[in-house]
Amino acid sequence: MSDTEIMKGAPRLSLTDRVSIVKNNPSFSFTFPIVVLLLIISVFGAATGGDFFGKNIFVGIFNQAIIIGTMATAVSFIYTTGNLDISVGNTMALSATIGALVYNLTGNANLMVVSAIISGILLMLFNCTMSVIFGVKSITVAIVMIQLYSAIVSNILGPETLKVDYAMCKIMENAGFRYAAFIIYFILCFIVFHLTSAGRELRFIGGNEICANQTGMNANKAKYISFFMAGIGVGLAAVFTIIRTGSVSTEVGNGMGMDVMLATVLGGMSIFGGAKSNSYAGLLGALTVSALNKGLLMVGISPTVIQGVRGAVFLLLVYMNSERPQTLPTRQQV
Amino acid sequence: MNHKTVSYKLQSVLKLIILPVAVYIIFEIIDRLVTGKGVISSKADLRVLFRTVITCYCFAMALNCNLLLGRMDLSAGAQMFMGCIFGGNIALQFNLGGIGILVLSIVIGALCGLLVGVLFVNMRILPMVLGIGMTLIFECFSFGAYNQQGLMLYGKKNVEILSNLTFILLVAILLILVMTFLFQHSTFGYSRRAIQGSQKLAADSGINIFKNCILCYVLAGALVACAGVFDTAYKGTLTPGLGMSSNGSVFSNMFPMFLGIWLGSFVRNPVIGVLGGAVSVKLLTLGLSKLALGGSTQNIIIYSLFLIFMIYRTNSSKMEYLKKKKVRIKLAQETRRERHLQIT
Repeated sequence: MSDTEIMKGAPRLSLTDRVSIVKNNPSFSFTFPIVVLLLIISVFGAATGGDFFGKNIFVGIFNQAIIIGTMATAVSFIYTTGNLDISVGNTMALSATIGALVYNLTGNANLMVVSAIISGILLMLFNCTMSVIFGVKSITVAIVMIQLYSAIVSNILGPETLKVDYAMCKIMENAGFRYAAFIIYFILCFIVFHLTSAGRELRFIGGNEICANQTGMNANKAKYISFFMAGIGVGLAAVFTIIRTGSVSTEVGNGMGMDVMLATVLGGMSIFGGAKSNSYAGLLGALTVSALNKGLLMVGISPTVIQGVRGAVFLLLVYMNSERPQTLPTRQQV
Repeated sequence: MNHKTVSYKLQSVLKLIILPVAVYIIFEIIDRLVTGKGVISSKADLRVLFRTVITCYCFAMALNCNLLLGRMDLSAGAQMFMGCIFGGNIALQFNLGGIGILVLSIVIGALCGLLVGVLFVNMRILPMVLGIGMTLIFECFSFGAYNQQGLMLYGKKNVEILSNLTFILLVAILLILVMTFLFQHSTFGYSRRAIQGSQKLAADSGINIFKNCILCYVLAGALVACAGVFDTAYKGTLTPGLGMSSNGSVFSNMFPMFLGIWLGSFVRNPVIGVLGGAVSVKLLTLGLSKLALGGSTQNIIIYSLFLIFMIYRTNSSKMEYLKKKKVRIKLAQETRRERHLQIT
């Protein structure tokens, strides 16, 4: 019997089956967000008559995405282990406040960077300790910490905006500090996540913590590693925030935890982690969100409508990129 | 009812009310020592307490509808904005008065909940993720509608009833009765508890988990809208915001909800428990504000207590185990000593 005859005799696959086969392909989770990003760029490129392809536009998109991208890359470590932390925006705000205070006291930019990063690490490790040692769910810790860190920042700053020497910020920005720091951090995250045993352990623990524990892995140690790596990213994002505006206010970081989650999910990663997690989803998602925002603005849509469109596109992409369980979604099914 | 049952029931009720009473007594003493006035020193204080308690209670109950079944609905705050802004403004246009505002807001809030529920059941994406998406969409609508003004009740005619103590009390009683029936005595409530135990087992035993889920979302939408109306009546206006700012109301009502579930476990009634939690937290807030502390300082105290409470809740079984272990060791040591004495 020839191949053609065999194919003729085989039952025809339905569209759902075909979609399922495509979605279950190992490279789908990587290619899907890239395809979406390219599609958005192409659509807006066509809609703006090619203006969207300008170098300045791409630089603008990258500059907008860099803070969210850094944070999303950072939290991807936490999400991978199956934990959630939506307090990163407020943690970043507190780190930025500490960094700005240190600069204003010492006038030393290096100390500002170091103190912001150390603050980021310590605050994230505090969140982790609440979860690991005291057993409080990481999402509950995050909800408390959003309010607590925000209140501490408000207490320190009051109604005022904490100004930092604008000239110093401009120098750091022009010297390409943001790009260099982001690239170094991104490479570090990529290496730790994809090329070390620690990264493999994080993914394993996110997939099945009990099984990982039984194979001799220390889930608590892995959680500390993930929060430590996230802390570095949060600290760096705090520095980026300071040098972008030369100031820190109580508004900094508000709602950023959600933006970060949005970017991570748009980048093709499940917020419940597991084997399909990666370190670049956050960056891809942040670029997608920025490109979408920029494109919609260039087309002439108001910021209010942009938010609505962003929400609808977000839900559509997540729906297309996720499994549909038989019962209602629970942690085990995702 | 025998003596033991009565005694057990009395103990349970005592455990339920001891926290709000303790908070009141502690702050009554502190406030009197520091400012010379008690926590509730005027009718205005009582009105503030009632309004904030009912707002907090409705929101915490709404969160309780879904959260215990593993669904953290982050769009609840945005549903509140949708319900109040659309329902409130339509009622004002037709001059339906305070009750009209409340009813229409609840209806629109419930419709928003229905939309989220139907989408959740059909799309079956994670509740948190769906919540984020729906927040973005709802905020867009509520911000864009009515010239970005939101809902303004300050100075409006026929809306004074929303600040009336008797009316607030009546609504609170009605809510408690309806919620107790729905959660404790209706088929919906039984099914909800079964699903809370195990979704798979509940589905296998014939419970329609999808219908129950949609009803939970509808109920939550109606409750948050109710909370929003009383909050607006208290503040005068409800200003819409973008950038997921509505999530703040979800997070700020988590403490009374968790506290309420714990208190409710004593009487096996989360509806009454959440009321206890709301009263405790609002008494705490009122007591702190009487001390003229800044809003951020108050938040630091409140959320530190929340954290301590969560640590206690998570580790209470471990503490109990350690206590029992201590008793066991002591008993073993005493037995050994007695035997040693007998032998010698």
